[in-house]
Amino acid sequence: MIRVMNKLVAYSIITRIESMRPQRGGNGANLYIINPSVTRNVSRGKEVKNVEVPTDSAPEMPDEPLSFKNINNKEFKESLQVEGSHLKNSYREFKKLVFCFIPEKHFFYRLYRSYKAQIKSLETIYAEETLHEVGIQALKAMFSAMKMKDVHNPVGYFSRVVKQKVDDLYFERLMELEESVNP
Amino acid sequence: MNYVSLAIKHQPFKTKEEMNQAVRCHIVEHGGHLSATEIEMIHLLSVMHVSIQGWRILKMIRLPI
Repeated sequence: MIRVMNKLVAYSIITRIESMRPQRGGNGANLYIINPSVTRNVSRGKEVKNVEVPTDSAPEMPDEPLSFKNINNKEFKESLQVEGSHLKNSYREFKKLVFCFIPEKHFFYRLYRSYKAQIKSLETIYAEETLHEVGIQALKAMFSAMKMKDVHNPVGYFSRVVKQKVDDLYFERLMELEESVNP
Repeated sequence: MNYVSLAIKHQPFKTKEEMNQAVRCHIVEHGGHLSATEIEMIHLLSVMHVSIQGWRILKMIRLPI
């Protein structure tokens, strides 16, 4: 089934759009789009043109098989990308970093869940990049602490670091507001 | 994520007939390279697309692997 779908994508008959779950992260369901057939429309258009101007003696261009393959390049895919696709990158980067040190799925899920739980209410306030940076910094802090000493509960340590970082962000924002009010 | 609105946003055809036409064209164009299963799969997808708003149904049914 997957192989069949891959082949159809390769022939540009369908386009696959992958999505990520915005709340919990991880892969969501794929969206399959049946591509409109370009060849037929183009060839029809050519026929019509030929009928209108029968005296046109220009040499005919070789009939290139136009298909979505030509359009199905990177830019096209980028334009089709799901809104909030930064989540994908953020999630992947997070996963990559964790798997560098501890390649355990459940450990990663626990970390990511605790991170998501903490930033969930802040997503509307801060930029995604800022929150992502907080998560990455907290991860690095946790791993460096684990190297230095025996951390009993790494996930707890991580969530505490995230909490501190988020508090720091809040204080920074307060300071900025104060400065703007009393310059 | 709201999958239905996402599907509506990316829908390439306005009517069912347009889609059937495109499916037919694809099969004519690539028919030589496709196996019976693959052609069957295109038909299956198109049926699903029609019953879609069907996307959701597709998700619920899960295509047989």
